[in-house]
Amino acid sequence: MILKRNKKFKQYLFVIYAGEFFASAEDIIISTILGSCISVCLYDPMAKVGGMNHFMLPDKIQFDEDKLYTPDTRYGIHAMDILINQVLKKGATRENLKAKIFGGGSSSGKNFSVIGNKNARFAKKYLEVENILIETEDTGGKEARKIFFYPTTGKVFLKRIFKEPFFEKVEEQKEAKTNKKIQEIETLPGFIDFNNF
Amino acid sequence: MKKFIFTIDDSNVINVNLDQVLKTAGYEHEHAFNGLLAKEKIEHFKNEKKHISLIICDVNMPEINGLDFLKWFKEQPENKLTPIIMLTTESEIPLMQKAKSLGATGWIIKPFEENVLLDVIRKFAR
Repeated sequence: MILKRNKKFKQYLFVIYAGEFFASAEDIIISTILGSCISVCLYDPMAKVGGMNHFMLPDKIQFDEDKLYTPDTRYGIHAMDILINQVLKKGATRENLKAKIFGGGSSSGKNFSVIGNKNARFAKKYLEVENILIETEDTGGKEARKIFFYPTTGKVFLKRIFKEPFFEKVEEQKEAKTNKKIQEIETLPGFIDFNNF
Repeated sequence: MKKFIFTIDDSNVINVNLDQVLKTAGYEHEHAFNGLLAKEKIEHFKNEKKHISLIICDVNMPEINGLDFLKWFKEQPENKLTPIIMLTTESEIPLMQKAKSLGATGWIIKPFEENVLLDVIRKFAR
């Protein structure tokens, strides 16, 4: 994550990358660039708290709407679970949460269209099961997206990026960072036995 | 008789998944969405003389959180031997130390693997 002081917006801008999330109750902006990855922006308009994540499911998964939790989707579920927890910790109420979904785009000539579509379907299914209202959705298509999210109001600015080489560069960066994050998570112990703690 | 596992988590996705995993593995399973609802269900189990083999409990939950529920549960002498495993996204050492001091048996960090969870249940359920 990078923290910038944005001259245009005259606000603090927190830029997150694949595998990261950020939640806040302050008047800041959370930003990210998405190719086939997905970002879910969650906010509570009453408590004026919100947060955003940025994740991608593994490329070879068989996603089935009837069985949401599989070994392949557990990182996506983790990305959602941890974001909800962070937003609730900052003062949001689960019943008031609203969501906006972005990303899941595709790059021609690659299998990213399938991955982007799976990522988007997964995010929608997750929010449906958790009874969280999806206010806005801008997914699919051939473009990359740059998102600016205001966590206290839920307002989002979206910039479409159509340049193909740029899109692929974004994807490569995302993949590298996602893999790194997954490795980090996998090194955590699965179970801590308090008898030996 | 099937062993009875009681889980407490505010996420529907996790509850549905735990229900699938536990029932497939041959356990009886019930869940509650937070510590407050869990307290009510436990009183109900007590009245029915239903034995809980093991509890799996999230930490961050509305109403009554996992650690407050753990404290309440373990303060009652009849629950001293019932194992509680915390299942959470949290990985901070002070929180684990607090859970241990309150009487938890162990801690699983999400995202969890089904095999790890079932191994833990096999080892500690009583």
